[in-house]
Order: sequence, then structure tokens, then C-alpha cells
Amino acid sequence: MRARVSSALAIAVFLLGSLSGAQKLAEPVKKVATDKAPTSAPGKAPVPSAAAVQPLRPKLAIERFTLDNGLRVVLNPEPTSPTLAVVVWYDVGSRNEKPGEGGFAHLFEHMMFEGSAGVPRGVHDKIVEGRGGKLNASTSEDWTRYFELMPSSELPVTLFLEADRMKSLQVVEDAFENQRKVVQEEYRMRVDNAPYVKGYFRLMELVYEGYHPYAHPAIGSMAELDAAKLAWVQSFHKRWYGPNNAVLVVAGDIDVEQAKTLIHKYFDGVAKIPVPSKELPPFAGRTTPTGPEPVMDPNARTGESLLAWSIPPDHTKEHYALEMAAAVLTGGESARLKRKLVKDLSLAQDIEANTEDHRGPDAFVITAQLSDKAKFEDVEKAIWAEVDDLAKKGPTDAELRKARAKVEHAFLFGLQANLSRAMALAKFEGHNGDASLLKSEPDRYLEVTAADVKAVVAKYLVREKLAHVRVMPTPKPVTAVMKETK
Amino acid sequence: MKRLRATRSLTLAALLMGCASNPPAVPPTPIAVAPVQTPPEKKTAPAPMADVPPPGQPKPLKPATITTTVNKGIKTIAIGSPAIPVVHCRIVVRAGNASASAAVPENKRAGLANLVAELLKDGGAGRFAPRELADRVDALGGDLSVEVGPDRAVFGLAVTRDKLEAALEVLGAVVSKPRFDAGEFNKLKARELDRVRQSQKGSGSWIARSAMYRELFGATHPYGDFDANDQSLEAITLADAKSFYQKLYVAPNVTVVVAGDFDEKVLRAAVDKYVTVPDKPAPTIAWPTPKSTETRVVLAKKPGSNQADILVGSLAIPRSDARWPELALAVQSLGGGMSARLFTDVREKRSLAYSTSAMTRELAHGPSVVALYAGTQTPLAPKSVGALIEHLGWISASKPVETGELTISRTSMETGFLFRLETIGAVGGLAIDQVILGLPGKDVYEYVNTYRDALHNASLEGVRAIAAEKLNGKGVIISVAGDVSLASSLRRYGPVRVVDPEKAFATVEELSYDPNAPLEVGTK
Repeated sequence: MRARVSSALAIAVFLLGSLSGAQKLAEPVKKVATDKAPTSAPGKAPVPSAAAVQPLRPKLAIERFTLDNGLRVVLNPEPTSPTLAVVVWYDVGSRNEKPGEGGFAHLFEHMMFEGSAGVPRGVHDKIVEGRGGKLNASTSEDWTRYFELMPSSELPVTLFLEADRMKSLQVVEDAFENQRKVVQEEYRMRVDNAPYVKGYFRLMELVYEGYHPYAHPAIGSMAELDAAKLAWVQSFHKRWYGPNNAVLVVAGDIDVEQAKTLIHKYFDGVAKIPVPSKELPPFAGRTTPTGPEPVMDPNARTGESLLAWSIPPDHTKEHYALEMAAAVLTGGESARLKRKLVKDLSLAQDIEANTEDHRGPDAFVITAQLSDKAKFEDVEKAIWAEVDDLAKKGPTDAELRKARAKVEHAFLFGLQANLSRAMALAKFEGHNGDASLLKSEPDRYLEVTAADVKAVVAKYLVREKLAHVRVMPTPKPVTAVMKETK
Repeated sequence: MKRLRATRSLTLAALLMGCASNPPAVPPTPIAVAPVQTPPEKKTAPAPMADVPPPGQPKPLKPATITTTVNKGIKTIAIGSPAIPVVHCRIVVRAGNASASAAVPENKRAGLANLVAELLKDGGAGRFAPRELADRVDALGGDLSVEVGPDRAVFGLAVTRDKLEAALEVLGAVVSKPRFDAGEFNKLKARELDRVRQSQKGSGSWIARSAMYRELFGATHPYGDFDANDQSLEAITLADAKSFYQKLYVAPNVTVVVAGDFDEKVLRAAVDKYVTVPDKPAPTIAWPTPKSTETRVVLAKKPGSNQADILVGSLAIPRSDARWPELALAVQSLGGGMSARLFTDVREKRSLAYSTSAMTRELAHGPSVVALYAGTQTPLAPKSVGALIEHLGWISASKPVETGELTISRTSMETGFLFRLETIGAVGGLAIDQVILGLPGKDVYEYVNTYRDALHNASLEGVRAIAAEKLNGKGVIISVAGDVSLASSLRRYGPVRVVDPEKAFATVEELSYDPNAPLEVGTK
């Protein structure tokens, strides 16, 4: 079944998506937005006035503590469903990789399922699924996280398994070579055979001007994956996978005191590690324009224009304003760029503006997938007209009101599932130092004014600092005899 | 956003089939953990396997309140939970891709249902011009969603409790009062063409799925079209869209599903006021029985691709068949998770694929589909096809499902419902499945409990028997989206038909079966 939602809101990223379902308690909070709301036509369904209705927020019960070994723990009891989510979040991602070792943080993530001294290869999966649970892991530029979804009765075994692989790994050559091939297959699927991805990779290289932490992709390159060595596994584990470089979140149907006891039981014995400095080198940001640089793409049928600018890190005041700018541009079917380029002029099949949300130097990206007969110049001219207008006049009251409504909606709906909350809490504890800040996160967006949006657009989304890529569809390549990649 | 977040494993259901038939869930039964292996020699001071905590005693699910009413022929399912002041509103219509035969000739069927649903969403409705409709939805804070599958079109809008009536006004107008503006139709059709042409060129999984459904059911069968093709889309007119709408969007085909926190009187009044499709009979659609065939290969051209998407599909039993739980357990054991056979062997042992799985695709009429998937580098595609076929042979005969595997599968499927019912919106989604697939039970919870009992009581012999009958690898369609250099070596599995997805899957070459064809790619 194909499923398409009419638009995706960039600012919902912090909530990790999941707009399906609702079952958590919520409470009214102090109203921040004060703009006049639209009223309904006589005899029609009422649209509640923003001034009259207090926004609703999920009631997040959060308890935080730190073990003696440095493991930061966040508990989020929510008894509505007899399930729970456990997330173990490690403060290491592809940004910590050295040049030439790209993709290893992700390859290592696969190693965490390949056996420890205490749990043989393949058994971790069997235990979790045998108890009715689900599990997976993912790696980004900034972090690596592991999760289990379990019936709430299975918290002990879940904590046991996570503590076990935090203590030790025991990966043999066969398993390492197997996962190298698996990840290379993943690369073929996600990169080689997916349209527009290589254009995006090139855009990141340009916008970061060789700034390694974010200029290279989390999945690395085929050559780097080929070069990875088994010996790196143990050293990587010792270097990054200690309790004092991790956050443990348990969200769902838990008894807090019982959970604490279990956490102490399984994690107190995990030894600290000497965590290396994670301070990033300075990045001045782009100071000159570059592009448009063509990127040939045999998987694309129409062109794509990608524009990017370097911007301040996530969770800074200007970043919030830039996220609201993204919402004004493409956050909803009526947003500026969607309405103009997709609906009115049929220049683009789709267009999205978003921030990458890196904890370090970040990027603001606009991607426009061209319609069949559209020209790059026309698409980019139309984009610039709206960006320039936003920089000159700022958003209208109606635009800002809609963007705020999207924030409220995303926050309320996006934190319903245990896993969504656990992931968001882990990120806030890990990046911001306090998971409780998640509660007030919408306020950071609602405090953004039209003048703020106008100012950041004028300051950052400028031609002088633009990184620009044009993805050019190419004819299908001629078939050649291919040989297995070893 | 095209950020690439590398993950250990894809959500297999999303990759393969979209809305897959995850096993229904229920309050789980405590089942012993699978047998574990002896740990290797310890280098540190690990937790020995003996310390693995035993299974706990699961808690029961707390059901929401469900009432079902019918007014003017329209069914409304209200699933009430006051836990949070939000409400998920959906209108589901039996107007999926397979319904197009009720309105148009064969050459215009593919893509019509989706085009109509998108036109309803974007083309203006009732008092809302297209721009006003978009403004209205965005002012509510949500997104108006459309999902179209073989048997359904679902329109959704989730809002806070205070906006229930406003949301139902929008959804009701979209479904009941479309404007069918010619200009909007043309714009939308152009966008759909762009989307489909992109899939025809760049999406291996889309190509393999489309080819598999055409081969399994036949191009003229209602289920033969997985999605649109550009030739069909080109042929569809505004009159076709109107015809489809007028015939299919009628009260007997429409169900309103509202889940969350709401005042029931407000809900009833709003549904009555805004959902006003005519109460007239739905058209009768012929569902011919697909013909069984010999095993054959369809290779959908994706020139130059260094990876192939492989599906090995077959027609199974209808969803309503009493043996469905046994089949679902067999499929789960074969490829339903990370501890299942395909993942542990094809991926973790043989290194043939990043993503590999087996799953069922539930259809409302006639036999449902079982498919095995692997995405693999082109030179290894013939070997990967062989591995999938080999697994079918094993599970159906020489290495049938073992007790330990069945235990894991049963627990996973029983408990899986806890996650499918974790949020109130998800409960609404399962209610839609129940309506469209005709699943038994007076409501979702009764269905879940009944199904859970069936899973729990399924015998090893029953699982093995259905595997022997329906997972035996005979009469399967091997659908491969990949480079044409694969054609020669794929002959070892059956006659090969090479098709061009960019030309409505027209045949471009046919090769005969050769069981001795070499595995090496490109070898004549």
C-alpha cells in the first residue's frame, strides 16, 4: 500500500515522526502564541480560536538519575499500554570517524548483534523475539542508538541484554566479514540504486567545505567499508561504548522503583571507560557560493535542485527561527513553496525545506524535485523569489499561526508511542544534558516571532553563501557483465 | 529530507508490501524463551546465559470503548479513549486499485483509484476551493492523508479534540463533495505521471512488486495492477475519474472510523451532517479465480543496476480460510523477523542480502499472496533466487518448522498485537483492516482475541501441513528487477520473460527454461 501524507513538517523531526495513534495523558500549558486566529463562516464547523483555547501538551513523567559509573538514566512511566521501549543511546556517530574510516560507526552498530562473551551470536535476536519483542538500531552523524520494544513484563531481560553488550563484545572474523558484506549490500540499496541520494551526498560535501564530521555520510563509502578491519571492533567498543558515554531510557508501563532496582542490578557492574574528547573542530561556515554543480544520476528521471546553507547548531535560538522558516516555506500544503511550485506553477513534483538538526554546525536544505518539463532556472528563480520575500517582509500572521499549529500538533501527536518518546528523551538527555527539556521544547518554537524568522532568513539564506547541486537524470547505462564484489 | 540514517535492518514490511499483515496481537501468553546456545569461552566476566532472566507474566491490554452504528447506509466505528484529547478521523472507502474494473475498461484501470483519491484531496470540495482546503487543513495543525491499496482508499486527519467537527467537515467534504475541476485534474495527472515514471525507472522494489502482481493474477485481473503505469494514466480522463467516484463512493462502501477522545453526540451529528455520499448499491465486481501456473521468471529491466530486487511470490489461501493462522506462523518462521530463517541464513550466514524477509499480503477477495524478498548485488542474484527457492523446499518438506521456531513465531505474533494496539490511532487502523478484509468479531478486540487463540492453539502438524501445501516452491513467480544480463542465468529456475517497466511491462524477450544454465551472470 502506498501511503502519502500531504506534507511533512521539518520541525517535527525532533519528535521523531509517528503521527499515528494517541493514548497519552495531556495537559493544558501556558499559551505562548497570541496571534489572532481565523474564525469560521456562519453555520460552518467552528475552528477554535487560538486565543480561546490553551494548547495541549502530553503529560511527560520524567525521572532522571546517574549511576556511579556515569550512565545517565531516564525513566518515563506511562501505563496506558502494557508495553515498554528501551533505548540505549551512545554518544558516538559518524562525526567521530577519522578520514578513511567513514561508515565504521555504522558497521560497528551491526557488530553489537554479533555476540558478546555472555550471549552468543544470533541469540540476542532470538531472546527478544522469543519474548514477543522487536529490536533494531540506527546510526546517525551524531549518535548511535539501540532499541527494544517489549511487553512490559520483559524489562529484566531487556536490561540484561543491553548491559551485557555494553560490557563486552566477542566478534569473530566470519561475523565481521559477513556484516561487511551486509552493509555493502545496504549501501547498494540506499545509495547506488536510490534516486537523488548521491546528489544529496555531494551537497553535504559542498556545504561543509571539507569539514569532515558532517561532510561525509554516515554509511561511508564502499572503499572505506572495504578497508575496515576486525581489529578496530574491540578498540571502538573500548573507546566509545561505556556507561559514561551512554544514555539509557525506559519509557512505558513500568514501576519506577522496580526499574531502578533492575537498572542498578544490571548496569552497576559495567566499568567506566576513558571517553576521548568529543569537541569538534571549529567551522566558520560557508563564506562563498559554490555551484550549481551537476551530479549525474542514472536512477533519477527528472532533475532535482538542491540548495544548502550552513547555519548554527540545533537547539540554538536562531536554529528555532530557521526551523519555523522551513515550516513557512514547505510545512503543509498551503506553505509558500509547495503552493507556488507544486500546486500553482507545476514546476516541481515536490519540494521540502528543512534543517539537518546536527548538534554541531548545521545546514538548511531546500530540495525541489522537478516536474517533467520544468527547467532548473525557472524552479530556482521561483524559490529565490519566496526566500527573498521572506527575508524582506517576514512571514505573515497567518503563516506564523499555521506554523505554530503544526508545532503544537507535532508535539502532541508525535510523542504518543513509547518508542517515539524514548528516542526523543534519549536525544535530549544526550545532546542537551537534560531530558526534561523536552517538555518545554514547543515553547522554543512558539516564542519565535515574525521578526526572528525574517532576520535569520536574511542572514543565512543568501546567495553569497549558497551551496548548490543540480541532479541531472542520465540515460540508463549500457548493460555490462558484472562480477561479484568481494 | 533525504538524510541517510543507516540502520541495522529495514522495516521489511515497509520495503516489501506496504501495509503488511502483521500478525494480529493480543494479551500475550507467557512462553518460554527459545533454546539458547552454549556461550563461547569468556574473555571477561560476562553474564552467563544461565543469568538470562526468565519470562515475566504479561499484563492484559486495556481496551478502549467501541460502538458501531449505521446511518443512511454509512457505518461509523467510534473508538473512545479519554486518555489524551486528540482524535484520529478516517474515512475508508472500498475504492482501491482493484475496484477500477467497476468503472473503466482495462486500459485505464491502473492508477485510477489513486488518481481519484488524490484529486479528492487536492482538487477542492464543497465550499472549499483547493487553496482554501489546504489553508483549512494547515490551520487545524494536521495533515490530510490519503492511502490507497488494492481494496481501500483511506482519508485521514488527526486533530485535537476541540477540532473534531472541523476535521469531519473537511473529510466529509473531500469524500462527499469533490469539485472535479478540470484544471486541477490535469495538474494532478501530470504529477502522478511524474511519480510513476520515476518509480518505473528508479525503484527496484516497486518494479519487482508490480511485475509480480501482474504475473500472479494476470494483467486483466483486478489485483493485477499493483500501481499505475504511465500508459494507463495517460488514457484516464476526468470523465473516468467521475465515473469511478460516482460508482464506488457510495454509502455501502464507506466507513467512518474515529478513534480518540470525543463527545459521541458531537461525533454522530458531524458525521450525519458532513459525510453525505449517496445511499445506493455498490457495483458488483467480478473476482475471477487466478489460474495456477508453472514456476516462471519475470525479469523487469533495470539496466546497469548493480543490485537486484527479488520477489518469489505465490498465491496462498484466502484470508478467511480457517488455516490462515497456521500459514501466518509458517511464514513468520520462514522470514518474519531477525531470528527467522531467511534473516539468519540468507543474510547472516550467506551474506547475500541486507534485506530479506517473507510475508503475507492480505487481500479482501480470493487467495492472498505470500512473497519472499531479497535485495542482492547483481552477480549474486541467481544464487540468491536459488537460496529463496531452497528455503521453500526446506520449510515445506526436508526441514519443516521446528518446535522452537514455532514457539518464537507464536509469541512474536501474539505479542505483536500489543504494539499494533499501543496507541488509539493504531487501534483505529486495525479496525479499518477488520472492515476491509471482513475479519471476524464484533469489534477489533474480539477479533484480536479470537485470532490470538487460533495462533496459540495452532499445532506444529498444522503449520507443517500448510507449509507443505502452500510454501512448496511450486508454481511460484520469480520476479526480479535488475540488469538484463541476469536473463540467461535465471533460466535455470524457469522460462524467463523480460519486460520493460517503462513500457507498461511489455514483453521484450522470452527465454526458455534451462535447468543447467550457469549461475554466473551474463554467461550465455
